[in-house]
Amino acid sequence: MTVALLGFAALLTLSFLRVPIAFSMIIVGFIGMSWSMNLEGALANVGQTAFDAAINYELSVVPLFVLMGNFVTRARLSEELYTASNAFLGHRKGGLAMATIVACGGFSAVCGSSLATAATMSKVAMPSMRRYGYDDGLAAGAIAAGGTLGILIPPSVLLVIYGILTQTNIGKLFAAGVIPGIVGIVFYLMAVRAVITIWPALGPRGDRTDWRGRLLALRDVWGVLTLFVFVMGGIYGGVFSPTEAAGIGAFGAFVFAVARRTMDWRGFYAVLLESAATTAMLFTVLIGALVFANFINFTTFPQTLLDIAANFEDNPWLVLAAILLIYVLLGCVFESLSMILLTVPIFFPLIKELGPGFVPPFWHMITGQAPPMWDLIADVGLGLNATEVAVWFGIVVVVITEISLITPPVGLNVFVLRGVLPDVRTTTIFRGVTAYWIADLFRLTLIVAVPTLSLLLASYVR
Amino acid sequence: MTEGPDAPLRTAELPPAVRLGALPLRALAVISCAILFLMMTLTFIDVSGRYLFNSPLPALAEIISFMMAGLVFCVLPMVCFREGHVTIDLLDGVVPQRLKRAQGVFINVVAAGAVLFIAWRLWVKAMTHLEFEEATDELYMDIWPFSTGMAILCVLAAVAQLAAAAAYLIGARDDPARASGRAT
Repeated sequence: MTVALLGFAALLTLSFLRVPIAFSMIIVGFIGMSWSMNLEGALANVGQTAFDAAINYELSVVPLFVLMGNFVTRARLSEELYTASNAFLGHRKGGLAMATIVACGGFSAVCGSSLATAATMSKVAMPSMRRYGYDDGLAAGAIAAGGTLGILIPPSVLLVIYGILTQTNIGKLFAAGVIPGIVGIVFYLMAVRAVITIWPALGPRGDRTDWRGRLLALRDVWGVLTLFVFVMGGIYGGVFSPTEAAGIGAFGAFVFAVARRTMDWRGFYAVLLESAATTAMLFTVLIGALVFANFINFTTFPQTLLDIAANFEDNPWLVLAAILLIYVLLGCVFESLSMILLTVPIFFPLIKELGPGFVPPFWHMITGQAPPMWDLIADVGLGLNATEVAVWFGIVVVVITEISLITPPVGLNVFVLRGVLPDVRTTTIFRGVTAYWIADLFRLTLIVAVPTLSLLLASYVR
Repeated sequence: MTEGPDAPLRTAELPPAVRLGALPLRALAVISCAILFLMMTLTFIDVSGRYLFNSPLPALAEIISFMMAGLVFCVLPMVCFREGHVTIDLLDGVVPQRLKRAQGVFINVVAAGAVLFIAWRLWVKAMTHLEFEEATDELYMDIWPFSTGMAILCVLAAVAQLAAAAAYLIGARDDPARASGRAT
């Protein structure tokens, strides 16, 4: 236990000194392992881990989805999405911000990264919102918050990594992300509505589009729609494996980018290089996290946690609440991927152990027994089975990671916007994002309390 | 995952010797890109072959798993040189300006050490592959040339990381905050 805590302390110290997290984890993990196991074992472990992580068919899904997202970005499918959602929502009060959120959700359906979604949508949505005199905070907040949907609505690079870490079916995870993603969009729309009700001047009405124009605009999003239906439909229907779907999706996005003449040779190379570099970056973090996790597993730390959790067997929600609190705190400091890689190996066994105890809570509190209503809706009334708890926890982790993306002081999505919109102050964006952040808390509560939201679609995936 | 999609390789600010040294990094990065594109194309051909012509590519999973290693390790030197790794930059505002260069040297030397360590372990791994003549399951390819290649590329990455440290030492770079990689 002490060794593990010392390890975490050392890891944090090195990382705060700005040593890349991947290398901090490798160094601390190796030293810790040679301490708690022995030198030869630790040495062999590092080589084996690096080799196994790199030569891995399963993981090839990562670069391919990254590539797909980058091609989609280059193909500028974002513009049609924004025009279409604007045609439907723009004439309302705060309508352009609402349109931004819906468009972000649509873009998330073909892009697996939150930062990419935020960066792309900001280029399309921000100028238009400014033209109509929207408040910078509300506008930038909509993009930053809407962008976070990128890692929840499939495809999602983060869900892929979670799936590989926990041996959970990626198709199921992707299916599970759909409804919580839609809930996210609805809640964000409500947040805009609430802000506009209180401060009507922040988001004036835009132009109204007639139904002809709306249908025309809708016709233009066929590109995104085709790609999504093909890739996700293929995974849901069991036609492709996630890797194959990623390859096909990347190819489709490539064809779009070429056909729309939005990509020259330089752009083509930039997309490939960026995707390759991102992959290498992800892999070093992955190797580091695996080494570090191996070290932690050699200490008494996981067992101690399990023992503590065993005391709460009757009330697993308390354990979950504690875990979520830790995520919120870590999210203030850590970048999302390293956070997931660090914590999931530790918390996942815990949650899995407690799985059967997760009876949807509110009825439980009122009636003191498992709610019969839930038995009718889905088979979660008597607690979750191993697969269900894995899928549901994955969604919960991703949603809380989304929140960390817009939480100060680090909130990466906010900083991406800062990069794209240098004239908007960081504090302005954080102020504007507050309403969405509150909406996120409601969504998190809902998704935690009602596992059915995540599990409904997932149960149809083989 | 776009941290500056078109971020230029910051070589212009460096002396000619370093610029020349960056050439192999670029060449390797091009190889990595080619592998990625090929991977995508092969997957597409494989799936369409399976459904349209009922003939998938043989042993593709194995080939792709080795391409993955190539993709990652070929671009790694450039990522290292650009300092494209994920870092925590929470304290950037606190570190005094005069310590920034020293910090740059420190983190890059530590990182280089870590990369070199991985390279060493991969090399040892490669030697066991050679000794026991390990081969792949489907195509019976020798594994040792691949693991040796990974180790060598990793050494190159460590050198690139040291070059980044040197850039801080000679003053070509002065603030680690300007080079930050981010994921997801």
